[in-house]
Amino acid sequence: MTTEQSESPTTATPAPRVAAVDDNTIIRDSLCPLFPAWNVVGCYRDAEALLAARPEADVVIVDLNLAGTGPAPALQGPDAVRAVAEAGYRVLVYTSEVRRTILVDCLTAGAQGIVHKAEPLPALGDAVDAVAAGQVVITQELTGLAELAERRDQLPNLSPREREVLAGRARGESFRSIARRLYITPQTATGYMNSVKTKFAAYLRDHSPADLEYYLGLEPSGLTDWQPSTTDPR
Amino acid sequence: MRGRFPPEPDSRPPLGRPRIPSARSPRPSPHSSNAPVEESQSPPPGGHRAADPAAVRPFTVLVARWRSGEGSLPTTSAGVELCALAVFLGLRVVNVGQLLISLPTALRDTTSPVLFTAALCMYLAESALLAATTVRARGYLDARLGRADVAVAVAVLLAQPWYVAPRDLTGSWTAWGFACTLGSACGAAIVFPRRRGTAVAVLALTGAYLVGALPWALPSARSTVVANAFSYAGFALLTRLLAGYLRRLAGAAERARQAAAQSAAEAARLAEIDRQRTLLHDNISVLSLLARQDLPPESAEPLRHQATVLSRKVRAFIDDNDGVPLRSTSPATTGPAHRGDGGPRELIAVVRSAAEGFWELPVTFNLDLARGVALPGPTAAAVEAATATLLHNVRLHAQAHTVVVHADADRAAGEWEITVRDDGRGFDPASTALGFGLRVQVTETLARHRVRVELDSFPDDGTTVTLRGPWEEPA
Repeated sequence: MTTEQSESPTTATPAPRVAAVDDNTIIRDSLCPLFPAWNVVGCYRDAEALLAARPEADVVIVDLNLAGTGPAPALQGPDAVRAVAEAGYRVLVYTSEVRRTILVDCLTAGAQGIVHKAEPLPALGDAVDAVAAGQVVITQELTGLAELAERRDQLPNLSPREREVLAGRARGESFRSIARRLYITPQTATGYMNSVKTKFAAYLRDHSPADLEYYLGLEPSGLTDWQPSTTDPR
Repeated sequence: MRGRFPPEPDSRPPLGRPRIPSARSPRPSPHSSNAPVEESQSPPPGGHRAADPAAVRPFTVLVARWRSGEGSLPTTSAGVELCALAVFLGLRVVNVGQLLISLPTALRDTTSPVLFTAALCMYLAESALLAATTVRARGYLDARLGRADVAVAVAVLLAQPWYVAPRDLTGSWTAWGFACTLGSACGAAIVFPRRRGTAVAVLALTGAYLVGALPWALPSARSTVVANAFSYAGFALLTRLLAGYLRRLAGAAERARQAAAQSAAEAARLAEIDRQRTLLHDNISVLSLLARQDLPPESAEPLRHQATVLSRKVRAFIDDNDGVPLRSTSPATTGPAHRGDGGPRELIAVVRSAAEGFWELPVTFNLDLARGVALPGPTAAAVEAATATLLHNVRLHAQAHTVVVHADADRAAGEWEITVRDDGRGFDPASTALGFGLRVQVTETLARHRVRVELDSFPDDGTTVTLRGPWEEPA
């Protein structure tokens, strides 16, 4: 499970202000020592705590499975993402979840990026930098889904070059390899892919998983095997 | 001129037309080793008639082969010897036949019926003995027989003046010695292994003919006698040319057959090694994982399942006495996703089935684009095995952080595509020989199912293997 992001993130920008929502104490406590380059502005047990504190942050890292310890059920999964995103934060989902439907739901709910916990730590660092810079970070599965959307004419505003780069990335090809193949620089290839991801994220925000199933020709429950909370958090 | 043979005094050298049965066989020989066999189809009956009963069974076999159209003689050295023998004995039979036809006239014209009959009987007896011995030996190979035949011929030639009137010494079947001993010159070309032997025999025959005819012949016939005398050398030379060439041809054919047999044996041996390596290849990665001390407990179960499947395959291999190659090398062959009915299978299911057991590989599947593509059963099995082998290769060699298995299909182009991409250490395909798995288990096997394999790799930038095959809509 790889994360679709820039291979050469910009490091010259000032340290991103990072907040984290995770019910795992160890993760919360280890962010500072693990990422000394970040400015960690706050770590919260659940989304409600973050929303109550309203820290100034460029990126909020959100775990999807928030058990909580109190009597009231905490906001979960895409619902938590939506709540944080609607509060104006750039959300980076950090999760062990691999089901496409939930990940799509997160993007639909306004997440700007998704990183798997199984990824090596630098992947998280790069993803935070990318999201802080306004880019979209998606997983390899979602890159495949983006290709599917493109091939089903759901992303008509992609340029031919963007389609080529997307096809390579959906097959797991590195930017170096794509660059060699298309006679462009890796940075150019990365730029094309960033554009694709932004357009794909915009597309997802406008479509529910059921829409995607319909438009992408996926078999029923290819995406909608997980139902978001029926409680409207708003 | 009452006899039809030998030729007219003024005619060309006496290897002319009357000898058609023997003269026909030389022609095709330079072109084909099979031709002499077919051309010699008529002589064997003659050979048989003069042969003893022991030769009956092989003869019927020869006739049966001839009638079935496969040629009565094998194109081997032994076949060439049989062919040469058949020509030699056939010639003798023709001569004897001609002799018997003109016997009443010859007996009437002879100056000494007793001597004529004695010489004829000696000749017939020697011919019968020669035929019996050579047919049993399946070739005219014994030089002692050759010397005996030449000796009898010399005796016949030298005796001729004592029972033939001078006017009958040329061109007459009363003087049958010349016509009948030409065959001995041919035989001398076949039976003596060295040219010297043939040359001595030719000299003896020529000398005996000249001694027995020249002093006694009418002055007007002497030039005929001298011209006839050259026939021995001519017949012997041409027969030797033909027999020598056929023997060399047969030797070459046998060496070629031997080489082909050796090649086939070597190919079979290599195929068997390939078969064993095919089996062992997939075992390596499972065994190496099982040998790890830090094997995560949750990995143990799927790994044990895979090991069980492979152990069954090894058992099947050992029990396989027919030497039939394993149908599939996939670890999923006996897994739950395997369809034993050989019918078409969804490409996506095939790929997922192939990846079963690679739990420790960080594989991402992007397969939606190939939805609806079905593969014929045998192709599906080959693709599944190949995909599993590719993943085994990634497991063994790539040191990859991510692996993407991607499937695509283009209805317009009528083609499907599977790519297996890892971000591992890669290699330079130009300078690195492909391993057994990729070369044999993937490329060669899939080629039989019209699936092309493309490899793209770069040092430290991963490897992509692309499989492309025809997308045929099920009827």
